[in-house]
Amino acid sequence: MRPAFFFSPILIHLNIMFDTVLLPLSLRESSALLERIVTALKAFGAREIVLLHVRSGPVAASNKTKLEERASAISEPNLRCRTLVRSGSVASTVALTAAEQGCDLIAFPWRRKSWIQRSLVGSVTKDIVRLSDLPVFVYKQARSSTHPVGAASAPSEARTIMYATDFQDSDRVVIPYLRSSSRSAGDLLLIHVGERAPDPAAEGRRIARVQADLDRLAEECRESGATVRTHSVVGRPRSAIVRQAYRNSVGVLVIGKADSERAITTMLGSTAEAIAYNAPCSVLIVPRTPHTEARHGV
Amino acid sequence: MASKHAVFVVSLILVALFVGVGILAPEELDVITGRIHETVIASFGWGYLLAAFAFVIFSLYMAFGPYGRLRLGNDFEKPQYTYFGWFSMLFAAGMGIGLIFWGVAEPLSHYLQPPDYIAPQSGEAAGFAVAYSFFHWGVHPWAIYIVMSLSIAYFSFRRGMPPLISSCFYPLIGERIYGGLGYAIDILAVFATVFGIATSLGLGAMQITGGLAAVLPIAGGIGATLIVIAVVTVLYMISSMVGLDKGIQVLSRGNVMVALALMTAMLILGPTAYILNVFTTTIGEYLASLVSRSLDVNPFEGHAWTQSWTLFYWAWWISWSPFVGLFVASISRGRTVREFVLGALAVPALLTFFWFAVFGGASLHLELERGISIAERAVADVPTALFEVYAYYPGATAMTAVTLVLLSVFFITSADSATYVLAMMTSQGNLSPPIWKRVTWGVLQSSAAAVLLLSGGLEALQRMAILAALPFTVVMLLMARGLLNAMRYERLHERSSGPTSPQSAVTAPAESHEPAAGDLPKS
Repeated sequence: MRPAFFFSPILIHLNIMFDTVLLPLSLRESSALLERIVTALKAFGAREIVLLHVRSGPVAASNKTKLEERASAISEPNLRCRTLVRSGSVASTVALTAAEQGCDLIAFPWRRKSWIQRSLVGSVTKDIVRLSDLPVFVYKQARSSTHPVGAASAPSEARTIMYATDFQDSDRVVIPYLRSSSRSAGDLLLIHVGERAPDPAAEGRRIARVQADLDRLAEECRESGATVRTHSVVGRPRSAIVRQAYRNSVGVLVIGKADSERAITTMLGSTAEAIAYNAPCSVLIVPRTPHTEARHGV
Repeated sequence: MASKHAVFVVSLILVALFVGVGILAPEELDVITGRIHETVIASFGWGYLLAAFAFVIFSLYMAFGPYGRLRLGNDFEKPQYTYFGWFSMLFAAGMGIGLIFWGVAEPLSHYLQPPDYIAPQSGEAAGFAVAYSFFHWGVHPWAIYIVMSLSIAYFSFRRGMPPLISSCFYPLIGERIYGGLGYAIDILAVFATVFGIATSLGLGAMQITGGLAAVLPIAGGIGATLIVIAVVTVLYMISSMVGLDKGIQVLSRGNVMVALALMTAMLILGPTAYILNVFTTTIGEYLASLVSRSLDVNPFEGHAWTQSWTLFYWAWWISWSPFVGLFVASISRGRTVREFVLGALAVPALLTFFWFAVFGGASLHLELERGISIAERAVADVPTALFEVYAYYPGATAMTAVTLVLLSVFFITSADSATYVLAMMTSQGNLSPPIWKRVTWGVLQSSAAAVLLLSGGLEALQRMAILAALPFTVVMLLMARGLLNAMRYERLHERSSGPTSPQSAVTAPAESHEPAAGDLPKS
């Protein structure tokens, strides 16, 4: 079991400010897990947490009571907590409720499902990532010792925040956060994953261009004194980003998300959905939508 | 230095090794290759059909999709050859000799030995025979060639890389194309080309000998065939020395004109209306059943027939594609993707359809309308089938003589272009490969054809060439993927800065002013 204190420094360093956070609960979460998530959300600057329980059928009175108990357990003087119970499809109800309640972030714990479970009932994680226009934080407990993210022996490595950039709109939303967070952050890794250019000469130009852009972003983040590393990788983003998260013992992975109307994406799911599901660490997905940009004054 | 000649040396050793086995143990080689071939066709035949259909779709996407206007060269480059010169060379390299060999024999063979569910020597069998001849020689082989040649032309003329198959893998494997993996791909291409051309030369020489025996008082047989191979070898070596522009182009243009004249003569001297009826009906049937036939492995009935014909052809076209692909790429500089695809897909296919309608129609007319039993003789002796049919029409001697000229010149152009391609592939993609390498490959492929004809190992070697189709199917699917990746990269990251300038040709592809390289993570 991962120690409760382990996750919080990463988010304190990340220092992303989200006032109101929607936290959907299945009510199967342990109180220790809930405590760790709330600690993480406080690090994001949460001042209000909306606990939501969604049932596909009628909601039993006992569930409402359980939710109230959870709310009282996590309430603090600086952290208001209220509860909501809804019935309907989990993912769409979460997305709708978040918008309706004026939330800044949807956060939820990630639960591993077997291949058969995923095939039969799908993945709520992926559905929420797909449906929401708000930033989504997928909280994950670290994998076993084969993946050093959560290994107690490597706490410094585990403090790495990795931002996978494509040098597009999400930079404008994410970089200010990274910059403010990096004052005390241990390690910030900026990576870019792209396809190889068609020939060696063009590839040389591509590599130089990518490195220049990474250096520019790194410089912006270094202004606050953080240790910033950059890395350029060739490959498919959905697999290469996850691989880099493993290799670099990443604590929090930050990625952008753009809605695509391509039929193949609709069928196979977006890169962000796949990364959110497969990454070995917690993932913050920042959508590149007018909604997000307006909300964050970009 | 070692790596400079790695492909040449390794290919030479491998070819010599297999030819040696073909000479010393032809029967064993025949048995072994026969078993492997049967296993591959039985196990992966469906894969050939799916892949060939995918290549047709890919070609159409290339022509009508967002990359149709890309030019195979810089944006202001003009095509090197005129349409007629280009079509002539396409046709000569891709089909020429095979079409003359099978133009009569294939329809008659299907008519005589159709799948189990069709009555042999019936009207239905005749319709089936011409329809499947169209199908086997229609757009599929050209789509297969297009995948290969378009990729090579794009990466060499637009991206400044050497015209090698391995170059097309740069977007997928990067610098590893200069290592063992890249060499292996090129060596496999050399292997398939040498054995493919050697068997073609052997079979073509047999047909020329058969034709000569029909018009001249000479005895056919191995001795005469070897003399034919020797004479033709000298001729194509001369053509090869003269160079592409003067050699192959002149011969191909002349030959296509002769082929058109021969076809027109047969159309006029033969049953004109009958032939045109066959053409019109079969074109309709071809178009109507293109998709279903493209994916029809016939698992319930007639599967053996599909294996021995359709799947054999598809494997043959795929194994033949490195040679034709490289050659077609080398003559297509300056054309847009759209005109390249549409030109290579439509024109040779139409000419082929007409060829089969004329010669297949004329031979079936003898069987069905005049009661002359020719099919059995044609199938028993495929190389002389065409000459057998001529005998029943006016001007048989003249047409046989013209056909022999046609056959010899197609023989020369095929061997010449194969020599050029082999020398180019084993010279790191040098478009002007050294003469000594051309001579080496020219002599080697003719010697292989001759000695294997003597030893009886020719068909075994043909199957060896066809076996290369299995890895090449995968190679070609990856090439298509690499080409799409490269074109998409160009569109996303380079094209926004406007068309490439004449100065940015080959060695300096379009410069990008886009700030963003690579993509994603995004949905």
